[in-house]
Amino acid sequence: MVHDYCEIFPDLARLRDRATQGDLRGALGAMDRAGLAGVVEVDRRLWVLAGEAGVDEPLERLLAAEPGHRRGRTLRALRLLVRGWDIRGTATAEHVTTAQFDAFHDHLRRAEQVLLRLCAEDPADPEPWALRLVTARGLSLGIPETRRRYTRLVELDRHHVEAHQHLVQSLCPKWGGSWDALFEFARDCADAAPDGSAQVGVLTTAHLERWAGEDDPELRDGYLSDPDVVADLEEVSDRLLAGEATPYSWVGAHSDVAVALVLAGRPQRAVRHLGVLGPAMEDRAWALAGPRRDEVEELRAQAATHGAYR
Amino acid sequence: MSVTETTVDGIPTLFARREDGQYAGGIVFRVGWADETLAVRGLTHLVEHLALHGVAARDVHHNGETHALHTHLYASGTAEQVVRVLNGVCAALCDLPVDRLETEKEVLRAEARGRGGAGSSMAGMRHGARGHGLSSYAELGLANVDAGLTVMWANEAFSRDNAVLWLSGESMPEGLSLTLPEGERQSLPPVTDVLGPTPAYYLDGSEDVVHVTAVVPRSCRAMLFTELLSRALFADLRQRDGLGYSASATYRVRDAEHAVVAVVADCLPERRGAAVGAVVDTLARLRWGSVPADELEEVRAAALAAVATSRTLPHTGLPARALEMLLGREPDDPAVLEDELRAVTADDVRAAAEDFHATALAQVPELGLEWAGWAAAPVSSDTAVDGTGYASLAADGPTLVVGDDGLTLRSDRGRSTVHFDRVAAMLAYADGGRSLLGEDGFHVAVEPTLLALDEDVVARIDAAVDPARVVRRPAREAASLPRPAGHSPEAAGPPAGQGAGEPLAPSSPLLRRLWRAARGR
Repeated sequence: MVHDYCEIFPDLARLRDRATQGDLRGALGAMDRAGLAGVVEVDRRLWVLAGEAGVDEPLERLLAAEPGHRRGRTLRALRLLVRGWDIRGTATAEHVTTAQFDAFHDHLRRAEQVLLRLCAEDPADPEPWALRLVTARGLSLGIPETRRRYTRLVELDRHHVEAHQHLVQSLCPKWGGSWDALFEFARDCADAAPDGSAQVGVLTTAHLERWAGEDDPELRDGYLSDPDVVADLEEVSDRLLAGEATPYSWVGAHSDVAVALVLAGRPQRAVRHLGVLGPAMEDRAWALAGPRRDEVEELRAQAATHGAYR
Repeated sequence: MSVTETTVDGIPTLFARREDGQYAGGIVFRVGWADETLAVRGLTHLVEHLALHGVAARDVHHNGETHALHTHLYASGTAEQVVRVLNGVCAALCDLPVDRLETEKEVLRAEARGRGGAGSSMAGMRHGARGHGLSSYAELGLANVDAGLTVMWANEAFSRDNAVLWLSGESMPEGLSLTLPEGERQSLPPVTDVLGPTPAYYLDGSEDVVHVTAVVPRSCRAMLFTELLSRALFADLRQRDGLGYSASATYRVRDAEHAVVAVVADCLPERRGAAVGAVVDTLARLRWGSVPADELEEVRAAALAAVATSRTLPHTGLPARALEMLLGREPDDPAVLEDELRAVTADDVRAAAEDFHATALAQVPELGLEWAGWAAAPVSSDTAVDGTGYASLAADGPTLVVGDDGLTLRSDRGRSTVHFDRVAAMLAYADGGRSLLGEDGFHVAVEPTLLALDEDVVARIDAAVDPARVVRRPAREAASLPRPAGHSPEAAGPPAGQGAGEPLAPSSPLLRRLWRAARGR
């Protein structure tokens, strides 16, 4: 299984290498150029760079020479976000120490202030707005403020896949939302998406969150195989396979629905998505597969022998 | 057409001719509530009411207004009517109808209820319970004010040397007899600051409103910035986001050098957080974003049109010009003003936004503004007194420490200290309750129903507080006394500030006079 986007997508590997090996400016300059089908997914490129500690030093040099460099400042904010979240870890709030929270919030506040200024300077750039959904969640700014930011963003980019995923997270009860609000949003969002777009997959994500958030093991076991949920998953499955895929985010969408279908007891449908994925699998979905990973592996092998790789 | 400067009965006077057949006139005095102390808060307003009461002029449009640094009494109508009101006002000021004192106090109390009591707590947070901070406080000193104090205040502050008269009409009206006592031009009250680093914020969840104020240098760029900000707030919060009904910014002259720019935006209760975020974004856009050229031209044109009006109809600017004289500022030359307005660029607007940000204070209903890089305004005293401790009668209520130099009320949420030599006012209820308001805005309530007090505690406090700062109040009804059951009272009642301010030095002659008179009551 390959989880690293740079292994899945050679162009992202080239971007990363260029950024860390002496030409960050060039890498950032290439960022806004169109990808597949004219869709850029700048944010995926930014997140790839922000996962590399090796960009810090060239980034400092770039911003010392060009303090106003927009994409450089966006990357700095995202680095603060990533480092802050690394400090916090993924544990539930009661297992995070006060010192961890303080450092986490400090990083997020610094990121937020960079992003606030980027939004003020150029209100037409969706990327800082998308990242402000993440700072809003980490700084507990609440659903109304998160929604406002989301609205500003979708005015600029109606099909910003990552933004929809961020809002799904914010609307989960663990971040102050509710299941009702989450599903209302996820359905509207999926309905509005073009076939093939990873945006269709927000409904899968919502079901997986609902399933993972269920404390009662009996209820959890039955949740994904409920006929209504299976019908949702099958619709997502059909629509994802029906249209042109989004440049990078298809990996997450197909990973989610493949794992969800396995957990829902629909392995043959999952095979189609595993065929599209080939060796690729997003780590979040992989973590959710838990004890069913062997089954996913077998189905993937099955898909490969049928030559269903993308 | 221009303004003529002259003197009437020893009062500096501005006259402007007008062609519409109307007459108007007013007297502006350099005294307002910022000259008072909390213990006599409302005194100037009371004098204003008494001065107008005797003017039997139901047929004439006339009114009085008390502001921070000035009081304005005015009328319009025929020459004879205007003269009658102004003569009557001056006669009343020389011989106040003090038999009306208690009745006018009731009227003032009703007026306060009508407009919701004290203003926003923002001024108190910035300045403490004195000077410009007093706008945050109710006219609680009225209970204290007697005929002697009122007459003293009228004689000292409503003198001919502390006033400017303005008149407009076809010609100078005949028959003016404005006998006011001799006196002196009052110096301005000190501008106190108890806030600490800015921009700062504090939380007040009691209303669904975002307030932001800032003190900026008076300038054309700040005026145009305020107009652009006002438009942007309305466009963003109401028209685009539908967060609330009203959102605007206003520019108000504070003194010769400074203006206060105030943002008020209301919001739906369920969208408070979004309103806070939207105000921050709008302010950031003015600071760092592009200023649309057409919008700048629109607000510039509106400001130039206002200057043009003051040129062609000079009488419309007379009250403002009278105030400038009292504040010690040269009147604006319209031609210079027009040049300055024409010269304002987008960069100037951004610089004005930067000025606003540098001194901003926000009251937000939730979230706070630490996430946006603003400092938390102090809501807990930075000092405490040593002395005898008294436990709360409630399980988790605040405890009181009584020391030789002051009081500290301490709870889980923080502490509130008032030093006896920095008491702005102490409300002394006949039922034994004491409420001490410090000059820095912190507040300590000593309630026998909430604290396990010794018998002599209240007497010790009374002996330590300057009688000039005590406001005597009748006993409260048993049902309205605070009780320990239910949730515990706040340790620090808003408004609150930090404790580093200067003591209320009797820095102006007027204040010195006030203290002496109040002590001698």
